Amino acid sequence: MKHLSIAHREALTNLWLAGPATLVMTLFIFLPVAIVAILSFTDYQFGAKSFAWVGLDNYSKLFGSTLGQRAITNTLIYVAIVIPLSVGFGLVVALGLHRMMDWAPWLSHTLRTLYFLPVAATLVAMSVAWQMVLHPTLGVVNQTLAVLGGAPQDWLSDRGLVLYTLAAVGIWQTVGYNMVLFFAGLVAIPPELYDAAEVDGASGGWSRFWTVTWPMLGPTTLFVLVVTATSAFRVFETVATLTRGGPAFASDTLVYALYREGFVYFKAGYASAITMVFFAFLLALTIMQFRIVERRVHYR
Amino acid sequence: MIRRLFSRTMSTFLLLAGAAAILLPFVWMLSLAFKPRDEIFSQQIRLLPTRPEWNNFIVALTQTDVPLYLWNGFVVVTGILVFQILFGVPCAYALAQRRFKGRTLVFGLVLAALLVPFHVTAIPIFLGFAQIGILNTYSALILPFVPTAFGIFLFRQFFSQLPAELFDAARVDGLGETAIVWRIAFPLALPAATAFAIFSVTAHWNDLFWPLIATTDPHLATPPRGILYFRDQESGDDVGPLMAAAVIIIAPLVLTFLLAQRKFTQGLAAGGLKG
Amino acid sequence: MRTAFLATAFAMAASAASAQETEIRVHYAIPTIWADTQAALAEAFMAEHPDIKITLDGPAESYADGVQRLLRESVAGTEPDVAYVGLNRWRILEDRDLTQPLDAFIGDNPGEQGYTPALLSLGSFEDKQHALATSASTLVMYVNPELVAQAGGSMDDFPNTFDGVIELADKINGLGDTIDGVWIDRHDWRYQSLLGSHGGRPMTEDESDITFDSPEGVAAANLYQRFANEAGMKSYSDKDARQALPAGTLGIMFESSSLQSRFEEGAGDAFDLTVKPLPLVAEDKSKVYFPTGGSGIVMLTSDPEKQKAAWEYISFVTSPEGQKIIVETTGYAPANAKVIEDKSYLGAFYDANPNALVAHTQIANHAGPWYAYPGAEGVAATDLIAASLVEIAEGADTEATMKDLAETLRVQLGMK
Repeated sequence: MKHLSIAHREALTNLWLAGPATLVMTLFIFLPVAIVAILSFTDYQFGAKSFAWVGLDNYSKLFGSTLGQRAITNTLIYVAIVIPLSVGFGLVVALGLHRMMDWAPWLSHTLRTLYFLPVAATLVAMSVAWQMVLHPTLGVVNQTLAVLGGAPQDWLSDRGLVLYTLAAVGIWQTVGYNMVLFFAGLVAIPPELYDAAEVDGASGGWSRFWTVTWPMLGPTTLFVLVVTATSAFRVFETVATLTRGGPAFASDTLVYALYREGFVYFKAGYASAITMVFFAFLLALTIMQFRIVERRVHYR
Repeated sequence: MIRRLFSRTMSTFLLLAGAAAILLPFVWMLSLAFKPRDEIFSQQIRLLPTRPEWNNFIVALTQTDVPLYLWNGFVVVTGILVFQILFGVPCAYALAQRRFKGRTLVFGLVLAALLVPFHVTAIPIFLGFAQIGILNTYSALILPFVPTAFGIFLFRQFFSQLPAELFDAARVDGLGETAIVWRIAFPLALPAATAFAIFSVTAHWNDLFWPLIATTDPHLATPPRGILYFRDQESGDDVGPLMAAAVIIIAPLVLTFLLAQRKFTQGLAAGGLKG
Repeated sequence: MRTAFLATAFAMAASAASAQETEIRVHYAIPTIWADTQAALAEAFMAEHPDIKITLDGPAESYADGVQRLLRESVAGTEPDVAYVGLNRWRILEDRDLTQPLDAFIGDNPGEQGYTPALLSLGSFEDKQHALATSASTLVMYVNPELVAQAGGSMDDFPNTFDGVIELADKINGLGDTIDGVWIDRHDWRYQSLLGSHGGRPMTEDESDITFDSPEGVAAANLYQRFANEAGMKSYSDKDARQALPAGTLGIMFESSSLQSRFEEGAGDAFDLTVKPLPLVAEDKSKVYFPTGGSGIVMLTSDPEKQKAAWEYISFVTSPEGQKIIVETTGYAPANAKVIEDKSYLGAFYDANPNALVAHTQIANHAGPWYAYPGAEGVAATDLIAASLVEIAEGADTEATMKDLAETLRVQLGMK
C-alpha cells in the first residue's frame, strides 16, 4: 500500500465506500429494468427453451384485448376513487383533530392513534379480517344491514361492487397516513398568520382556511397526493387476498395482471409489457402531480 | 357559546364515527378470534362472545406454522436491514462528504433508482435467481432489496449536514475512512437510522408480492404469505384460529407503533415517497 | 486417538444408514380433502418399505395452484420427486417434458395390477403413460333432505331432470332469506359435467377444434342462467358454499363427490346428507359422459435410484391397498379395477355408505376424461371459461357469450 500515491488510495477508498451500493443498484435495479424492456418485445415464457421477437404484439394485445383494457381501466377507476377520498378524508380528519387539540388534547391524540392503526397493521392479515367482515352471511356488515332492513350485498363476489369494495378498503388503509401528514403540516403553521388574516378581515372559519391554511399546506398536499397516488396505483395485497382479480376479472388491476400473466400463466414476455406500461403510468403520474400542484403552490 | 358547543359536539361525533369505521375490522377480528366455533357460525350478530375462547390462540400458536412465519419475517427483515445499512451508509457518506469524479453520476443513479418501484424489476430478478438456483431460499427473499436508493438518499441528506471539520479532525487522528463512517458518522445518524429502520422493516414485513413469487416452500413463508397458506388450507372451517393468527401476525408492528408512535409515524412519513 | 476412531466409526455408520434410505418428496393439493389421507398413505407405505422415506411437501390449495407451483419449482430446479396432479393438469407438465414415462415400470401386464384400459387412458398421451389415476370423482348433487321436506318435495321421488331440480330449488329458496336453493361453481370441470349430461363434448377427438358452442354446449351453459333467474342462485364463492351446505342453509349443491366425507362430517347429526346422481339430458344415453375429476400421480425425478423408489410408491398408492385407504378416508372413487371387482376390499364399505355407491356407480357407468385445453395457454383457458360462466349467470346472452368464448379459445390455443 505504501507505493500507491495518495490519489490512488483516495480513489480506492471511494470505490470501496460507494462501489458496493452502486453495484447492487445496477445489478438489482437498472439491469433488470433494461431486461424487462427487452423481454416486453418477445414472447418468452418461463421455462421455455427458446423465444422469438414479436415487436409490439404484446402491447397491442394489452391495449387491444378486453382483459388488458379492463386491467388498465380498473386500476384507473380504483385510483380515481381512492385519491380524492383518502386525501380528502385525511385532510378533514386532520383539521378536526387539530381543532380538538384546543379543548381535548388527550382525545385528539387517542383518535390520531386509532386512525393510524390500519397503516401499521399488516394489510394481508387485515384483508383476511375484512373478508370475514364482508362475508355474505357471517359478516357483521351484512348481518347489520339485515337487522336494519337493508339489503345484504355480495361485497366481494358481485362484479359490479367488488372494485368499489376494494377501493373502500384502500381508503381505510391510507386515511390515517394522510391524516398524520396533514396534521403535522397544520401544526407547523405559525399562529401569527391567522392573526394577520383576521386583521385583514378574514375571520370566519371558511375564509381562514382558504387564505391561510390551504396555501400553507401546499407542500404537504403535494406530498400526500403523490404518495397516495403511487401507492393506489400499485394496489396488490388486497386484490391477491380478497378476490384474485375476480370474479371474472372484475377486480383485475395492473400489478395483479402482471403477477398473473407472469407467474401464474408464465407468459414472461407479455407480463413484461404490462410491467413497462405500469412503469410508464407511474412515472407520468408522478411527474404530472409535481407539475400541477407545484404550479399552484408557487403562484399563490 | 352555544354555537361553539354545537360545532364541537358535531365534529367530535363525526370524528368518533369515523374512528369506529376505522376500527371495524380490528374489532370484528378480535371478536371472532375469541369466539368458539358455534358462535362464529350463528346467524345472530353478537360482538362479545359468551365465553372467551383462548383455545383459538392456542391452536394458532401450537398447531399451525404461525410462529414459523413470524420467525421467517424476523430473519428476512433483519437480513434486509443489515445489508441495506452495510451497503448504503458508506455510499451515502461518500456522496455527502467526499469529492470524487463519479459523484454526480452515482447520485443521479440514486435519484433514478428512487423512481423504480420494485414490481418493475420482479420478472428479471426471478429469472436470474432461477438460473443460479437460489429461488426458494432466504437469500432470494433478502437480496433484491439490498440496494436502497431511499436509504442512501436519507443518510446522504443527514451526513451532508454534518460539519466537514469533524471528519478532518478524525482523519488527522489517523482513522481510516471506513472507521470514520462506522465509528463517527453512523452513530451520529441514529435518528435517521431509526426512521429508516422503521420504514424498511414495515415495508418488508408487510410485503406479499415478492415472497409470493420467490418461494413455493410453505416453510419459508413470511407472515403475509403464511397467513394466506393458513387461510387457504382451512377452507373456511377454522375461522377462530385464523382470526387469532391474524391478530398474532399484526401484533409485532402494531405494538411497536403503540409503544413508539412518534418514531413510527416519522419513519413511515419520511419513507412516503418510496412507498 | 479413541475419539477420532469413534467419530469415524459413527460417521461411517451414519452414512451407511443414510445410504440405504432413499428419500422421496411428494407433492399434493387440496389439503382439506387429502391431508389425513396422505399421512395415512405415507405411513402404510413406509411400514412396508423401511428403506424409503416419504416426505410430504406443504400442500397446494387446489390442483390449479399445485401445477403452477410445480412449474415454478421446475424453473427453479427444486421440484419434488413425485406429484399428485389434477387429472386435467398433468398434460401441462407433459407439455414441458417434466413427466417421466411410466411404461417401463408398469410392464407388459397392466391388467394384472388392476389398471384397466379405461383407467390407463386417463393418464396417457400419444401412447405413452405419463400419469396413473389415483382417485376419481364425479359431479353429484348433495341434497339436504330436511329442506326438501320443508319445501314440500320428496326424497324418494327426487327430480331426475334439470327442470325438476330447478323447480324444487326455487321452492327451497323461498323458505327464507337466509336459505338458498341451489349452487354450482362457475368452473370448467362443473361445466364439462353439465355439458356431458347433454351429450356434448368440449373439443373434438383430435383436439383440433372447440365444440362447446354447439346447441348442447349452449344449453348446458344456460343452466347457470336458469339457476340464477329461476331458482335464485347466489354468486358467492366455493368456500362460502362449502360452508353453507353442511351448515344447513343450502338445499342442493352440485359438487365433486370427493367432498362427501367432509360434508357428511360437517352436517353431523343435523341432517342426513344425501347424494343424488346428475340428471341425464341427452336422448342417446350412450353419448352421456361425465368428466372424471380427481388426481393422477406423475413421476418427476430423473435420477435412476430415486426413480426406482418413486415407482415403489406410485405402485403402492395405485394398488388395491393404497386405493382402499383413499376411498375410505375421502369421497373419491377407486382408480383400480381390482378394488371394485373384489368385494373383500370395499364390499362392507359400500354397504355402510350408500352415498359413496351413488357416486362410484355414476363413475363406473359414465366416466370419461376430463378435457384439458392443450398447450401453453391451457391454464389461462379455464379462467376464461369460468369468467364467461359468471357473465352468463348474471344475465348475458348465453349463445353469444359461448360463441365468443369458443372463438377466443380457438385463437388463443392456436387452433386457427
